[in-house]
Order: sequence, then structure tokens, then C-alpha cells
Amino acid sequence: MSEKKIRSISVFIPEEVVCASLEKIGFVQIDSVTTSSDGKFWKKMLYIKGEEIVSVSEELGDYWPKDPVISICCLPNTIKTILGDLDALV
Amino acid sequence: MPSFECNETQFIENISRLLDSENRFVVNRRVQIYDDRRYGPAGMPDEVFMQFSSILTRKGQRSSVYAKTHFLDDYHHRVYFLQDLLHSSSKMKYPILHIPYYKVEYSFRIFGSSYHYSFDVLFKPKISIEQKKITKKMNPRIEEESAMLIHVLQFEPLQEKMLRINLPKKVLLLDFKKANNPLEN
Repeated sequence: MSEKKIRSISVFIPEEVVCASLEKIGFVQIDSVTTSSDGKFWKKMLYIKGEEIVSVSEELGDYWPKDPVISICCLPNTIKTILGDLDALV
Repeated sequence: MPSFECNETQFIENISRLLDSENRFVVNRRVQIYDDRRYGPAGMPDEVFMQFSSILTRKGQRSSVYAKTHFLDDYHHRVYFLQDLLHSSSKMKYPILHIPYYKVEYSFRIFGSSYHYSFDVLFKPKISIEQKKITKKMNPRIEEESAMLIHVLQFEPLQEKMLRINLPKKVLLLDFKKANNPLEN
């Protein structure tokens, strides 16, 4: 079995679309919290599928454009699927 | 030693590149609770302030915040009364009601430089109406101890999963409480 890898990207895709794309491939949201970093507030959502974990963080407030940060700790095939799905949405 | 501050994407991508290059390194992590008045309700974005809307009111972000009803802040054992000023727009750094948080700090050192990423995770508010014993210590304006039904603000413990960045098992992660720099002594 291959090892998990990590990637982190920010994309100009609305957070709802990113989350729907993750749910479509079997990820389930387990929790969401408010975080603060770089002087900004973020809504951080955690998605899990088995041992694979993805977090989606979107800046809170009246900002544009929205570019959620997606941090992935998954098997290489899952990373490829997630990035492929996001590429198709751009 | 040069020290570099990263955002989430930069920090994770840096680790990813180091793993691909098969360099050996250790990632350090410190998680600590703070309750130092850093986060008050006036500075919260509307999406977060909404979670307090049954007990707090304000005109907008960075406006003064007032109590909408009597309530007990169960975490700090304080009672506030209707229309009490809880965070003044002219004293943004000194909120009366404040939100505790975890500070999570990650760092690693390689090739003589250190790379850092830190973020704060705010406790989640939970508001309920409960029968509580109210004592004089909770507010100097309370004349007699009594038990009453009152709005109660509690802060829920956070899942440990929400306090970390997710790294593959082969990354050696070491937790610590305090960094001591021998050069400072």
C-alpha cells in the first residue's frame, strides 16, 4: 500500500463547490471551527474518508475574491482525483 | 539563525518538498490555551458573531457590543446584565467579554534556517438556558445569592483533530511546551 502524501493549494473556487466536490468522492465533514492566522479569521472545515483527511479553510468576512485553502493528507490517487476535480471546475 | 514565517500553504508545501527530496527533519509543535483578551466580540466577523446573537448585540463589526439579556459566562464565572457594555469600539484591545483559544505553533529547522506556521483556534460558544446558582463573586451588583433560570454561555472543548495540520506518519512530530534558547542565557 502506498504512503499518504500532503499538498496544500488555494483555489479561486467557492468553498461550497470545493466541499461538494469532496463529498462527491466520499469525504464526510466531521467538524468546523473558527481560526485566526495572518491577522484574518477563517472557517476551517475538516473532511475525513477512512484514514485520509482534507481541511478546507475559507477567510471570513466581506472579502473578494474568495480563495479557500485546501490542505490534503491522502493517498496519491485521491490527491490526483481531488486536484483533477478542482482543475475541471476552474 | 534565519527564521521564516509561512502561511498554511507554504508550510505544508515546504514539508511536502522536503519529504520528496528525502531530507530528514523534525517538525515541532506547541499547543497552548490562552485566555488573554485577544479575541473580543466586536472584532468578530458577522458569521462568528451570529453564534452569540441570542445574548449579544452590535450594529456591525468593530461596533460596541452590548448584552441582549442577562447571562452567565460559565467559563469565566461572570454574570452580565441587560445592556452591559461588553466590548467598546473605542477600546478594541480590551474586551470585557473575551473568547479563549488554542494557539497552535508548528516549526521545523533545516539547512540552518527555521520555518514557522502558527494559528489560533477559537473555542466554540454554546448558549443554553439553565438553572444556575448565582453568587456575589460573579458580579458586584448581585446583592444576594440565588438559583435562577438564566442564559448560560459555555465554551465547548475542541476536538484534537482540529488543532493540528495533518502530516504523513513518516514525519517525525515532537510536541513541546516551551522553547529555551541557550544563546539567550
